Amino acid sequence: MTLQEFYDQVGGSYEDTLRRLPSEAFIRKFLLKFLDDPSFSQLSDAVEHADWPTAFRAAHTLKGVAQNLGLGRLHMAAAALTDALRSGAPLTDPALFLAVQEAREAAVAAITSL
Amino acid sequence: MKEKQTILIADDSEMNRAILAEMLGDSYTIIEAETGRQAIEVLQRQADINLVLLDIMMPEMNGFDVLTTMNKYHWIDEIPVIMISAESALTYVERAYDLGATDYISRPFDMTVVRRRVVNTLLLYAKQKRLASLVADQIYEKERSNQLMIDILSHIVEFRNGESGMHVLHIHAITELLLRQLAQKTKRYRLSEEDITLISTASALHDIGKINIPETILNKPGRLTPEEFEVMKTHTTIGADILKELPVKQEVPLLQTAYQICRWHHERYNGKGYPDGLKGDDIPIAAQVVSLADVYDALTSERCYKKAFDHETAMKMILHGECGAFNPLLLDCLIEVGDALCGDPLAGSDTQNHLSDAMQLSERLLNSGRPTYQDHMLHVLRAEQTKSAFFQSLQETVQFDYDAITRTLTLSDWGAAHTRGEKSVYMPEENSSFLDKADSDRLRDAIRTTTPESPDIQMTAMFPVDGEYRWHRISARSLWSLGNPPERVGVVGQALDIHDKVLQRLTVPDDSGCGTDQDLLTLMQSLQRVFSVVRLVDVENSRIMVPDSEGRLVREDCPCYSVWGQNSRCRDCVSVRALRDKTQLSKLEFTEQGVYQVIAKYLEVAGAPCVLEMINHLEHDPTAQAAGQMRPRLHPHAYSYALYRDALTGAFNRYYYEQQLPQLEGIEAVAMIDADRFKLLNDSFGHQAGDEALRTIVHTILARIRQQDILIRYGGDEFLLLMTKISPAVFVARLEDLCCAVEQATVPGHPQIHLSISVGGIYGASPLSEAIRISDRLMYQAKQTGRHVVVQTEYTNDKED
Repeated sequence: MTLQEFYDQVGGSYEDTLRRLPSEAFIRKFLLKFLDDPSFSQLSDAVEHADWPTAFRAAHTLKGVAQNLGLGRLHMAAAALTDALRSGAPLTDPALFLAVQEAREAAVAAITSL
Repeated sequence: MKEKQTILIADDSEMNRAILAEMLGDSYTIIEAETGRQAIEVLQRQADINLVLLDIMMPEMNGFDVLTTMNKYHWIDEIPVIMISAESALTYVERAYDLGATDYISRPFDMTVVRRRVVNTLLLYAKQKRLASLVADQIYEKERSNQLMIDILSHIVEFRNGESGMHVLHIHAITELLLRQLAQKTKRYRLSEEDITLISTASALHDIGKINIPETILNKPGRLTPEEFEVMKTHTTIGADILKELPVKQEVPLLQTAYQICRWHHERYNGKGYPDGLKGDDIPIAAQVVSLADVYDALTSERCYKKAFDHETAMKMILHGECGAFNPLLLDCLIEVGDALCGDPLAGSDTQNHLSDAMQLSERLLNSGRPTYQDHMLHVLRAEQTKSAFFQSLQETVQFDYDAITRTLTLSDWGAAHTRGEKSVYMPEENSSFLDKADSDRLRDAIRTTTPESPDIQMTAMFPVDGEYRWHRISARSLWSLGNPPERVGVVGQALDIHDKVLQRLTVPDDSGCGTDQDLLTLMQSLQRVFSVVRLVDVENSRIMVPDSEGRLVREDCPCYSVWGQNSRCRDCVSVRALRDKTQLSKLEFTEQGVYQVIAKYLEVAGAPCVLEMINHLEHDPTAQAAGQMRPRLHPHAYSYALYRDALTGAFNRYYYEQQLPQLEGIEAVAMIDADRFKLLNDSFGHQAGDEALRTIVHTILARIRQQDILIRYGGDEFLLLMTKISPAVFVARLEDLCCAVEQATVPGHPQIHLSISVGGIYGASPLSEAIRISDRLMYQAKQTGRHVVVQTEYTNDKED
């Protein structure tokens, strides 16, 4: 799959990402690196243990990383979750977390078929 | 060639760190930190960090904690910090700037933005650091010279003969007089003020070689035999050798000058002197001058082998060549300073400083058991502190003591206990002191106008004592170092409670309800001694209130804004806001005549709300009038320039922007201007060419914008242009015109440089921070598309994130 197709699939803008980041090679390299990024597993651990401050920070980190890589849908989902968890509030709407999980899985699947 | 600069990236996400590191590339050494605590550890351990990229959300100390710590240890003074975060909420940004962050990059990362901000910030700080190290070197140089002098002199003290104590002082004074005259007369010897100080100081060492001349010859009452004279002559080379063998660095300027003086102060202009028979200007000027001073002083002083001659006789003998040939220029100087020499050459005011230095040296020589070198600055401070501590303990007033070196404000015990101030406040200009921010600024501004000759200021301010706002008269004195030039090292002062007196004057009610208030007028008269203009304003009608023949306050026909030469109410009337919020506010007003500070204080005069306006012309010295003293005028515009102008280009600086932000809000046309390929220009033509290029750009722009438009140097090569009362179409045309003009401009001294700028403009966006964000983005667009000017004349709220 081309990067253009990849970004269509994850709900991001290929042009915008390529404008910001140095090259296609750069983007591909860091997309692969994203597979090892620990912030999602930190997030789901924290949610499981109801450790809301840690969950907030992990969601925030995930949001930043997704935004930097132009993973649009994941960025939006993580942003919504981050806002809900802001100032250590417990998560009242599990759908917010599930949306992140789903978007993350979709992104991972798309990256592996790159 | 150039060493790599080191950047610390502090971000909890490894991905983000890696992306940033890769974006910055190999031109920097990158150090990474995963938490705030790690960042602090790196900063503690490593002295060579040039820049920090700092995330806000981090475990174990977040970005703000890191900034706070960097403030505490003054690291922030040295190391610029660029914040990076997805949190673009205004409060975060503001807080980061408050804590000293230099710049802010929001996510998602954009390589061009990241690189450019980093380069800009490093450039800016490199320049500041160079300046700082220059100053530090000079201070260090001075202290070290003195230390060196003392070491040398104390080393030879035992060998001194009785007469040379005064002789050294005289030589010092005469040398300085001659040098100053010479510097006025000719540029031939390129004598700077430092050279003069250096040579006069070194002159004290001219005869140190005499330590190796036998006592019998040195103090022989009669004429020396030819053999004895040969021995005597060796004091020149001996002295030079002593200096050469000193275990200090030989390139110290004082040492080099002293060497010249020691060895050649008996050379003569016609080549008939000793030891080397140098001729004319082959003899270093330092040695020539000291040699003439030496001869003159020897003639006019009593020696073991002769009586003292009077001035006239001595002059005749020298001019007739009885003491050998001298540089004719120097002889002219000697004649010209003759009057000053006639009296006591030490009495001249110019020599007082050096005299006291020399006195301290001799004192030290006489009391070799006393502690060695005293740091004058600390000594003075300590003495002042002892004194004020004593008086403080006696009085129930707020007293304060500000130490400029540690930037700490200390309040008296009573003051700390009864105001909301803390006993000790670090950086009171930024943290809350017992004064409000506005008053605090006013006090600082007033103190900046002090000089060593007139160190005192007075002002009136209101601050809470035991929770109640009360009027105080603040008197303060600035303390100065003994260095040359003297530096302000601190301020002591006290605030006297004058509330009851003031209150009496302000709240006398009047039966008629329309206000007659003799006491208020008296107060205003006394305020007029401090402020350029003091007036009561009826804000709603934009009229000034003045007393009629019966002392009733009546409205004048003349509107309040006429004082500024305007036909309509000021754009940001501070009195309107003071009236609305029932408070005291201040602002700065920039006019063609200069900078004014306007303080607006809400008052009720006999039940009617109005505002007392106090206006200070900051370029005049308001306190000089109050103290009834004459003082050397500052260079016109010096005040506003120093404070609010960028020293390099003459545009307003970032400080101006930050200070004036509330006043600038509401300006409709905002443009961001950036020099194209500036880094490349710097790299290929050098920094001086880069500086010159920036100056050219600014001058070109300033020549084409109106008086009321504001050009601010926003970052290294980034400028912010604010235009008011302009239509969108004219705004676009003006920006395009600027672009063309810059492209046609030539950089003085660098005709090969071709300048161009990229401009992003936005019309009608608010707040200003939003307008800046958009114009910045449009500027990038302009740059990337090569269109040079991109303007958006309609504002649509397109906030992202």
